[in-house]
Parts: sequence; structure tokens; C-alpha cells
Amino acid sequence: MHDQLPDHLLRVYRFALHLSGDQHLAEDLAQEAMLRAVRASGSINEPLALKIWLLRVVENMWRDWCRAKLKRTVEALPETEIVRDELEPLERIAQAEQVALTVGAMRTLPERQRSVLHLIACEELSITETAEVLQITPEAVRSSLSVARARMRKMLQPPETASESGMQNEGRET
Amino acid sequence: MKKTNEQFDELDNAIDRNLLAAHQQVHFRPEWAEGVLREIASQDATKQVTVQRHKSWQPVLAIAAGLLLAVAGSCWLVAPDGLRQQDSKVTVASRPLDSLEKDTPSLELNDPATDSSENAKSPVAESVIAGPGYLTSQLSDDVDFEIYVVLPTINTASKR
Repeated sequence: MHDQLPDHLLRVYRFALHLSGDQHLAEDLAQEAMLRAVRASGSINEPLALKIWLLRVVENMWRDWCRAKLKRTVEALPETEIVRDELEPLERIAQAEQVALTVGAMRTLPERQRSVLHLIACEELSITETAEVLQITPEAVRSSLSVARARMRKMLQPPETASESGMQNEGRET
Repeated sequence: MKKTNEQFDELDNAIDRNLLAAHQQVHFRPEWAEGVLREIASQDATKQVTVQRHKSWQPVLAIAAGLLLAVAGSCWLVAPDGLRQQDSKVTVASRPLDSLEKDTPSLELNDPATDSSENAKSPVAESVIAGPGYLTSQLSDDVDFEIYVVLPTINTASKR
């Protein structure tokens, strides 16, 4: 299993960066996740299980880090501030205008919706796998994804159609 | 005008493509990645060595435990005999002393560690063979024996 770990390093780092928005924190989270994988090597055998396991560990560590930070600081960081900081590295490296706009729109989403969208769009996980990583139900994943997509469409649709569609583009037609 | 599902799909796909494009441009620092991979390799090596050590130590530990058990068992078998012999000597030696001084512990008189006199080193059975008169005659001539008889009396007095 250790042979497969280097293949997951970039994925783990990207997810950690997506969550934290901080390069150094992402490095710490990713490194710890990889080392935990070494220690838990006996219990993980399948490559897919290892991938999901690593992403879940990063997600858990990020949550722990947020809780610890909230405890440490008297002034708890507001959710909006976390959201603003998290995708700054992605924004910096996004060259194309559309890409930058998309990333900018994504950063305004709540954390759950962003993670769902990230895992499905970037990591190409299924609904079930995403649910496993985030430790929520598949129904909750579907719901978050639906709302996230609707919000993204609303923010990114061409200006000429935005006024026409109004609130109708919040959801799909049945 | 309402958007169709196809238009939603196109827009969703475009969003996913853009997110993926941004995602794929994220790269870690090479020096950090090298450090992590080194650490993984070292941890893996340490773990393997630890596992191997555990495996190689298991039979050694089993043999050592077996030897310890054997030694402990033999000690258990031998020890009662020795104690029994010592107990018999003490019992025998206490008889003439009891006749002289009932409060005097007989063990002190027969303990070579506390008694350097020749009488103490000599077999106690000699006093038994000689009868009660043997120790009486020895005590009258031997100063050391007087001291050993008197000391417990002092201790008993101090407790009171």
C-alpha cells in the first residue's frame, strides 16, 4: 500500500488547500494524513478505499483544526472570513477569466456545498464516495450539490439571461 | 424564458471544467513533497524493522520465560527443604534457651550474622547432645552470650 501513497500526495494536498486556503496549513494537513496512512497501512488495502480514507482524514483534521482555533482565539473567526481566505491560492493561480470567475463564485458557497462540489467536480468522486468522505448521507450530498450548482449557475450565467430567468434558474425543470 | 435541462447541464459542465482547470493548476512545493516522501519511507522502514524485531524476539522471549519458570519451579522445590532444616535447628536450639530465659528469642543466638563467637558458629546440635547444662556452663564463661541474653531484656523493658 505504501507504493500507492505518493500517487495520492497531490490529491491530498489539493484537498487540504481547498479546505484551508493556506499553503502551510495544507502542507501540514497533507503530511499528517500521509503519515497516518503509513501507520494505518494494515487496515487499508484497496486503492479506492485509500483515496477516500485519505480525503476523509484531511476533512476530519481540518474540522479539528477549526474547532481548536475557535477554542484558542477569543474572537472566533466568522464563517464568511474563512470562506474568503480558503480559495485565495486557487484564485491566485487561476489565469483564465472564466476560471477565476468560477473559483470566485465557488468561494462564496457555504463550506459543505463547496466541499461537495470540489469532491465531485475536481476529485471526480461519486455521490456515495463523497458522502463517505464528508461522513454525511448520500441524500445530503445530493441536496448540497443541487443547491451549490443552482447558486453557481445563478452567479455565472451570462448577464443577458440573468435578468430574464430571475429566480427560475434556482432549480431544474421537472 | 425558462432554461432547459440541457442548458443547465452545459452550464454545470462548464463550471466543473473551470473548477477542474483551477484545481489542476495547484501544485505543492517540490521540496515539501520530497520531505514528506522521505518521512513516509523512513516511517515505513521503522515500522517494518519493528515488526521484524517483534517477530524475532518472540521465540527468545518464550525461551526466556520458560527458563524463568523452570528456575522458579526448582527454587520452589528446593526452598521448603532448606527452610525445614533451618526451622528444625531453631526449634531444637530454643529448647535449652527457653529453659534459661523464656523471653529471649532463640533465633538471635543461632544467627551467624549477628554472633561471631565460636559457640555460635558451632553446630547447635552440640548443645542438644550435651543437655541443658551445656549452655548454662557456656553462658557463665562466655561474655558474648551474656550480652546476647541481656539485649532482648533491655528491648522488652524499653517497650514497656
